[in-house]
Amino acid sequence: MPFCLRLQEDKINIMKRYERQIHLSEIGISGQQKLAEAKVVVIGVGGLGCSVLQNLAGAGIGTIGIVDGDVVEENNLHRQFLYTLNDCGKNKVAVAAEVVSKQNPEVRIIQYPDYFNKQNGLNIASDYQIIVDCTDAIAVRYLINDLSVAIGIPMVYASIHKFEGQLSVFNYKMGPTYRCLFPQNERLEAISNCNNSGVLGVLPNILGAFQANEVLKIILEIGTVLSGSLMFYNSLDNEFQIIEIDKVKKNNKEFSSDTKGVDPVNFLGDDYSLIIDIREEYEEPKLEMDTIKNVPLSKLDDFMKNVNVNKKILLICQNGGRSELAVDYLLKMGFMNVFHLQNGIESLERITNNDIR
Amino acid sequence: MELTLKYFGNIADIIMKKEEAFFVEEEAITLKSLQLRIEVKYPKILVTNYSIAVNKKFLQNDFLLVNKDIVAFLPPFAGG
Repeated sequence: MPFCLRLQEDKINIMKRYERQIHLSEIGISGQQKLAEAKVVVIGVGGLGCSVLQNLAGAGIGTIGIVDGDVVEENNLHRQFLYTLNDCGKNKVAVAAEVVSKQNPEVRIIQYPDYFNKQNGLNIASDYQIIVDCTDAIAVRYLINDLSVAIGIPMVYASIHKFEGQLSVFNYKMGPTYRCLFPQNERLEAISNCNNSGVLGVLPNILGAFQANEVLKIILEIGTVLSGSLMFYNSLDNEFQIIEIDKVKKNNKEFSSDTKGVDPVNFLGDDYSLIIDIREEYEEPKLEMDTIKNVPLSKLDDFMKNVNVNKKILLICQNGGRSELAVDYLLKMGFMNVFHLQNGIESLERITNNDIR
Repeated sequence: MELTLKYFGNIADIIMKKEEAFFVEEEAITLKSLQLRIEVKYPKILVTNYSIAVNKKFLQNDFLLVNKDIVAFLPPFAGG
């Protein structure tokens, strides 16, 4: 069969797969295209994560990252339906990737068979447009939250306790974050997970489907995203509550404590041998200066491989969040002399505006 | 005045009830004041942290509670 005809046939087959959702006027072919171009990372493939993955792959999300360092155990099987008895002892990410690829071969799966942590978090998360938090450890949740704020992408959160579940979307269009809901993270050793408090299999599957629903709404730009609200669900009494969350202006990130911030007033007076604007191409205002290199955060890792670690480097982003993270990362990589512009381009704008007045 | 208190997650486990009526002599008290009274009544809830919602909105410590308010004590959940 000629190549172009084969391509056309593939396209028709793909349309067949999604025709029932394309039929929805809110989705259509353009919506399906948005899903195919979307990049979503799912952190944790336990009860919530299995459900999220099956739903996202089914809907045709183009690229899905899966992060988990855990292995399948027999006591997972009553609720984590991607796995079978034969998979016990195998890494969850490898098994989940294989099953989901069979479910929908159109989806590109990126595997990260490690626990999400401070060392690998930035590198993983900066390649995606949405993070889905399916973890069962609150310390990791604060890390995911802080990274989503720094990178500027939403975090779709769910968590369960016995017959109760919580759901929310944090940092959606600068909306409230997990720290607005639970500012402090001390006393957390008392919070139990499924291992020590027990769980009926249906609950994480319900909450995971809710998370997938929020992800699809964000990508498709339809409906009302659950931002600024916490949904509470009790499966024993069929009780639903939506509780409003206000944005709290607070900057108590748990990492980046020793990051070198530069005062915006005289940042160009200093002699940096390399100044990098790590914002994406579409971000405004542009910085039109010959001395400034444009390297988006997702490409920074590759770019820095060819840079001398002794160079004096300044990183700039929109509001100082991403650059602060990137400085931490580069310091860990061995760079000795890295700084970032505190509060980013936005602070420069404020100063420039004041000067004009 | 009378308040309705609702407990969730491991706070409900510790207190061993999901809801109760709570009477105070004053006509209005701050959220912080209620929180202190509850922590005195149920000191074991100090093992966890939690946020407090009044009439389905998370509010700050200085919010003034009045008769018939419904107050929810919500801890973080960790299961996934």
